[in-house]
Amino acid sequence: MTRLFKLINFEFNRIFKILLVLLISVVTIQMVGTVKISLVYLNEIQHALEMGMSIEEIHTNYGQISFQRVTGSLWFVGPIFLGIVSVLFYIFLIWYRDWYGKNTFIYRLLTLPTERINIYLAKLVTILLMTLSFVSIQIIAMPLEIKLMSWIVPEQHYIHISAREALTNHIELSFIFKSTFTEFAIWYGIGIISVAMIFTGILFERSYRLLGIGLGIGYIILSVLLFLMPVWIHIMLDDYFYPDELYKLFILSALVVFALSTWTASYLLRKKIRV
Amino acid sequence: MKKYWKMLSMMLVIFLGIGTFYIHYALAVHSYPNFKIETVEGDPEMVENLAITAYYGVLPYASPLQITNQGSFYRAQESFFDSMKSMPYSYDRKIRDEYKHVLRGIHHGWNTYYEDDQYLVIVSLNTSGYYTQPIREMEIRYLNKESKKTVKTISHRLNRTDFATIHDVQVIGNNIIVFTIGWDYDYEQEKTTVFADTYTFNMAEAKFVEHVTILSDQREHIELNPLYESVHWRPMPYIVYRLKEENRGVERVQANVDPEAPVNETEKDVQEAKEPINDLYAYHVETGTIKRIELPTELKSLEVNLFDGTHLYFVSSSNDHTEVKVFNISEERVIHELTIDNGPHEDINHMFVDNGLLYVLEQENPPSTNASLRIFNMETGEVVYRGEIVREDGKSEEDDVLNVYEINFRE
Repeated sequence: MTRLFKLINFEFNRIFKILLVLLISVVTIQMVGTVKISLVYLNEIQHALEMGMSIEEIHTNYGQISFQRVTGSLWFVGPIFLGIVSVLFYIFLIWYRDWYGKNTFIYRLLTLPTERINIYLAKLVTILLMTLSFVSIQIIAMPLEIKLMSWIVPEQHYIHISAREALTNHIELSFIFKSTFTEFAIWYGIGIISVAMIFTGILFERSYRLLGIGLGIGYIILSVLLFLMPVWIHIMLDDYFYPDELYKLFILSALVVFALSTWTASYLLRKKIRV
Repeated sequence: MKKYWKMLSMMLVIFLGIGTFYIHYALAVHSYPNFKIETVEGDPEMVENLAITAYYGVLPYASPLQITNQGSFYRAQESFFDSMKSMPYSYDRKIRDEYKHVLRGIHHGWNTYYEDDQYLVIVSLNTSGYYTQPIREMEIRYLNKESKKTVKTISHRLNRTDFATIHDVQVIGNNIIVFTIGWDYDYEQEKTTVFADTYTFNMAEAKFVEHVTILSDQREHIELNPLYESVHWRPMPYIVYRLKEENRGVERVQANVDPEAPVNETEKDVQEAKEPINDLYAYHVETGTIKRIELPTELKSLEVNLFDGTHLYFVSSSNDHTEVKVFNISEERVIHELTIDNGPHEDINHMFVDNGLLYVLEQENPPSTNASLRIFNMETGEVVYRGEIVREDGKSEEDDVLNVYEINFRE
């Protein structure tokens, strides 16, 4: 366990600086966006006042402003997608940098006096930490961004909504921010199992090279089919299951896919991996 | 430990960020005020079987809840898996909890149940095959409630290929009667055919008995709709249909702003009723006969709002009162007229009829937390129950907003 922890720490340190830059960028871009959107709104108000409109008329024409105007803009959504793309990119880079980096680092990793599966698990946990750091920094930054908007916009034009309300009612972000912890755990659990599946696919490629690409893709397709097995059973049995039962079966099949991915990865790392 | 500080700091940020978000959510959800129906007048048992559906807070951030005489229950307080089931105090949930095995794999609609003291029947209509030649198959599941385990199924392929939906299920003696309505459009004649059918099944022999078209009509713009009962799973002496025709005319509008300018003539489609057909038909379930309901002149201009299987309820509202006229289908006369007084700032949000009782859900306008429930005996016109929807802790906060909008029965 200590060795696994050390490996996780090692993998995390390799991405830490870039991750920190990305996190600071996300918060900074969103803060700038909040200020800009608030100022644009205030300019509209000022212009309307100069035209002789009353406050009621202004609210009828321009509406009051809430933080939802920020969450609906590219200033807010853009950095979030930047984070998503970074994680997706790093899922592949975390393996290939060990082969194609300055030194063939995988050689050193594989000769460490520890179970080889720990390398796989450490990389998996690093991806999870990276993902959750984006989610948590967003959750921490949002109340600050809301506060910033409330400082800029006068109270009579401002509608307060909480960070939770803004996040859980945002359709585009509803797949990142779940309203209950159970949903969050299930959603991100399935996410990390999908990453495990891709990792095993990458290890197939690293073990069998050209042939491995086909094997890796085949493995991923097989895993997805295994994950979707409850739907097939459900259809075969004439919609036998209730929605909650079907969801529980999905969790079970996801765990089976995770176990299969880990076992296959362990086998490939021990017996088949090529440096 | 020093060399792990980066990872541990990030773990702390994750724990603080995500942890506080969900702890705050859980605390917020559990701090919602509880409401209940408090009896002011009448027998509290009268509201034991019902729940009021409401929203606490301002939309779109309002939280849905159900209020009973025992207390309230917020959907957000349900576990993730329980929230995938129906509302807790609802007939659907009760059926699922008690007869889980009966409902498995059947695509039932909200109104395709029948339940009495002895039988539970659930019907579905499945469509397969090609779009031009669909195969419509009815599946009927039923059980004698004394032997809960034994579920019988009858499948029957419909001869009709026209679009049809099930709108009611009844049991008479040993027979299950399934009621469907449907329509077909004749492109050559440009006319719509509407029809109401019954399909009868024998429970003892588990087989199809007969198919009868009880009502049909063909016109240019015709609609046939059943009147839905408040408590849709109960045995009903009558099934009532509304046959309605809308004449679509063309109104010429002349715009002549400048007398010198040429006349601009535009056409617009308007839906105008030129002596439209607006008839009600009552099908007597026991005898299998259908009759056109002769309404008195005073009711002809009114739309029927509620139906309980034996009476039609015609509701008309003015500023400070609501009038309800009760028409008995078998006697074909208005048997009672009731005036419900409500203040100028009070709205009737929902009305519900069952077993000769009229349930009226009222609320102050604009909505605060002040809402009330009154139950009228339609034979005597008297208020037999009066209840207030109150916060259990007795507090009243300025920004409290509770929107009550529906009464649901559980049994």
